Amino acid sequence: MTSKEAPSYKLAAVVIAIIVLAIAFYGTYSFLSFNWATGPGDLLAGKGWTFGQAFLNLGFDFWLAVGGIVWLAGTILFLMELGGVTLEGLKLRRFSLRWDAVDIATTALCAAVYGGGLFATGGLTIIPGFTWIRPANALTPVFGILFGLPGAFGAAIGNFIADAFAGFLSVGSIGGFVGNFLLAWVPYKFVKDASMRSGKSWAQFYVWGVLVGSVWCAIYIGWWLFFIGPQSPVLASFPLTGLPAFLVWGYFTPFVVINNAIVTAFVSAPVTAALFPYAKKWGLYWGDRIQYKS
Amino acid sequence: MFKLEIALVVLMPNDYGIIAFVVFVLIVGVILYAMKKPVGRLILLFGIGGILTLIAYFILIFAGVYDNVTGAFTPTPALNGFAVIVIIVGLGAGYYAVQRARVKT
Repeated sequence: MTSKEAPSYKLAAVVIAIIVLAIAFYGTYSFLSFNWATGPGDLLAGKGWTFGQAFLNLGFDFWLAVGGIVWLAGTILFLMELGGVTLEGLKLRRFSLRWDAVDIATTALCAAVYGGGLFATGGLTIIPGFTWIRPANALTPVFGILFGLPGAFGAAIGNFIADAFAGFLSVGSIGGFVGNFLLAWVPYKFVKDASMRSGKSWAQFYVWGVLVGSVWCAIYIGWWLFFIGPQSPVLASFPLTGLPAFLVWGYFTPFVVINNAIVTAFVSAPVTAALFPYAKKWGLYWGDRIQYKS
Repeated sequence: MFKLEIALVVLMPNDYGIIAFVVFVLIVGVILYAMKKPVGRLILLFGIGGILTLIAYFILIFAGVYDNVTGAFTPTPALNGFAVIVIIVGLGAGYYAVQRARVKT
């Protein structure tokens, strides 16, 4: 960490990291220590996995509204980035990315590594057909912070590939596509120092890359599965997936949050710091490739 | 005597949904690429990658690979081995493409 930096940033980084790690640890511990003998049906009796029960207790109406807003915001941002408009603070800016051989190769490289890394653990199923234990999720913030949009789109494609090879491909994968894009996009936009040599960058990483990214990704995919599922307010007569709403909000979404948070909290920041000099040297760092028009 | 067994696989509405989505993305990618929009290359990559992924997915379905996945924590050595190959090929191809592009520029 840089010596010129105010000590308050280093302190903030430590405090934020402890809070985020505590949340991730609590979720993971409660998941692992829960007696699953009676299955997740305990959620309906109010005696389910405590972390998941806390999500479910907020109610389907809450999730329909809040999740809908989160989903809409994520979809708009995804389409904006495709259209060459990005968010800088609270301002919209037009940008230009060449999408030349280097950008396309970076996207494909990230997709292959992420996709392969994910479905290597595809047998560790948590909800058959929907999710599994995914340590490779730790790569998404690394791709986002180092490679920017090519890395984020690579994460999206990689998740799609992994869904296919793990045997989980469905219309739900469309939500996973954008959800994993967001998991990389959030740290790309909000972690300002990709070298990770300052306390501020670590604090930003834990707030945005670990906490916000994980929760946003999970709610985005959860809402999509809810919306196309059997208890959808629109598609109930023709559901495209079979996951009941109580499992979406009491099991799937909280599991995705803790899976993302625990692996990114421990692995992503040091890996980013280690790879940054190489990404910079090879001309792959996004900050050297993007051009702003306005 | 050898007996040829053909797995009977019925596509679900889910499968048609994802096929329609990938074809739609491919068409959009082709149109944008033809219009020489820079992002057309990326969307074309989505589309072509999606089609290749679907082909691999249905080959694995028809081969009955997923029939062996019976529940939680099912070891799938064939898939895990395939994953390692994808990672190595992806890393190698990506590294080669990036180096080649850098030399050109």
